[in-house]
Amino acid sequence: MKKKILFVTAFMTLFCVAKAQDALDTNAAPGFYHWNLGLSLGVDYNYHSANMVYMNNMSYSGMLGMSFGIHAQYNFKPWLGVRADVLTLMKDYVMTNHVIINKIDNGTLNTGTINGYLDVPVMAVFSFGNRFKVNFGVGGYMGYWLVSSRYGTSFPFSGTVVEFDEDVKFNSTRDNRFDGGLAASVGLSLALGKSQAWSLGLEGYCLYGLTDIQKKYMRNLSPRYNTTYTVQLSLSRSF
Amino acid sequence: MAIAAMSTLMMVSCRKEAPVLQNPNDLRCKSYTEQFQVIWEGVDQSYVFWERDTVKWDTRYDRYLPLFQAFDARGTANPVTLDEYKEAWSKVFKGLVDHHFAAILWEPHLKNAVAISPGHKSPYQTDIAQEVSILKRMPGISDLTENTVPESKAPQSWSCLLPGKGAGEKIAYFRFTGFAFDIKNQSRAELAPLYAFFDPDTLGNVGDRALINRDDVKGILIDVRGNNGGSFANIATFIASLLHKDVHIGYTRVKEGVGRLDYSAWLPAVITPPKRPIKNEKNIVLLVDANSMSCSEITAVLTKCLPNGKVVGERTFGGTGPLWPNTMLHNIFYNGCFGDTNLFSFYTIEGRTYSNPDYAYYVYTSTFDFVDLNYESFEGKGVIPDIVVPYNAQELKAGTDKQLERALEYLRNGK
Repeated sequence: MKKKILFVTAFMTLFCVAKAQDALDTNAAPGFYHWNLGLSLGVDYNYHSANMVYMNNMSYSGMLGMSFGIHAQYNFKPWLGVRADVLTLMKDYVMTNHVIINKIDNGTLNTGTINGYLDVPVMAVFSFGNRFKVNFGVGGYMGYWLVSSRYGTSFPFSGTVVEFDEDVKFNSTRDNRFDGGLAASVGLSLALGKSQAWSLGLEGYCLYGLTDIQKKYMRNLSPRYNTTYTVQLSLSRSF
Repeated sequence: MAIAAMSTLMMVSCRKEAPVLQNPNDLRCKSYTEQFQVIWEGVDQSYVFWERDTVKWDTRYDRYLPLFQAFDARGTANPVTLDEYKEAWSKVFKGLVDHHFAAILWEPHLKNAVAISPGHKSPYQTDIAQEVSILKRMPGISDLTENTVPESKAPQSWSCLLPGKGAGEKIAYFRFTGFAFDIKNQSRAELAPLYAFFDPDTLGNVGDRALINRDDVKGILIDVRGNNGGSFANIATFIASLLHKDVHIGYTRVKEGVGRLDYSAWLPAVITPPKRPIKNEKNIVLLVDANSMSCSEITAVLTKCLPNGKVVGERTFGGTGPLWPNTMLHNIFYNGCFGDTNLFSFYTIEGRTYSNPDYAYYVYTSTFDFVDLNYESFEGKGVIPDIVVPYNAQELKAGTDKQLERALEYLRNGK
């Protein structure tokens, strides 16, 4: 509940501050453009959230990946715009099984799962500053689970640990390839040149998944979600 | 803006909660209803064949929970009988594809247990005594060795030499009723046929005195008709003696987690020869029938992978999922056998004392899903021999074993 109150308070504060700035900017500021298109490239870290119920020896941990995207932003005001990204990013994670079997050398079996997603976050962006801006965005995203593969160590019936590395075929009964949730961003941007038509940015995204990566295929399904953080550099051109 | 904020706020709480699940190894049940719920959940989370099973398990819960609730409601005035108890559980498990599956269910008021094995529906019982009797009367049989130890805990077994194609040529024959050999704890006399067939001194490494390694032996016949399986380690120890290099026979996977389809990767199933292998180029025939189970069936798949191997007889039982009968692997991967393993002894060892004030249970089910090199599963279907010879009870009774004759014919003539 505290999180919710904090979230709404922050949102409303942001809105009020931006409105106040708008009142000062009765005319469009120099360097104001309606359209902004760009590219971004960066790294991401995916946190895989799963309730392990009684599986005390198993755990999930996050993994680093890559992200790449293009974006378009329409600015209504110098302080308010709507931005849509098309991001390809990796939502990877590792499952570790701490086993207690003498035959298993190091006592753990690991499965790293590499997942490629295409996500489209759409956010309202609030900007502060002129040439150098601080940007905040809130909104949602939708996406699609494109590819999956996994590697690691496991335990065949012969009782000796072996390594594996395989592409994962999607299971239409189990895998929910639709992805969606909340999106939030924070970023810095610097407009370049006299016309301020080009800008460089450093931005961080949080994509908070609200769709279980599994379909509801069994009564007692323990849901699993992804939360992905990205840090990316962007280059944009305004029109 | 306010609407957007409210919508966002509502979405924040949209992640679903996980259900409350409990480890089926840790639970004590105080009623019929609890026992049903715990076992239903245990199978839900621990059964490795959900991807290929057609049973609608959620529907079973809705359909049979009221039945067990009704049992509880009857009280002591109208107690549940063992037959009713067994019938109810039979309905719950009906049609599960796992042919290893057995649920042993303890009823504390009746102080008795019932065992439900939905896959155990063999069309006939292998008449091992008659088949062995025919074998012993075969012309030219020699070097017959059998386990004659009274009340032996080792599987019954026989080894001998049978005539080959040419003069002086032999076929080495070995038959055993299970893979439960235990070199450390079973006596030399109990294991005599095994030692004679493979090697008397260096079991697992084929030595000069083994029947299969004699120069006059031109073919090898292993008879697993009516063989109910046992320890996989004995495939690696004995059957692998016939190999001289690793043989990749298929793949296995487990379920890693409580989701029905939380499968691990497919891992290669490889049979490795002993440290001192021979280069065996003799033809090998494995004789199977509808009661060849588990390790026998894995051996059939192995034999099919050998360039010098042929499987003769009838389609096998269809219980090919390897398993660990204790609950150790369940506590690692959360699939396979679960419950009170003492109940299994109650089921298998006649007269074993067992008592429990709770509605105890033990579920014996495959730990691994096994497929061949083409990712074909044999669970519930069985392995089809290369040369099919149907079981014929009448001919057998009259003294003719057509399956054995066909296996010998192949070894003598190569076709």
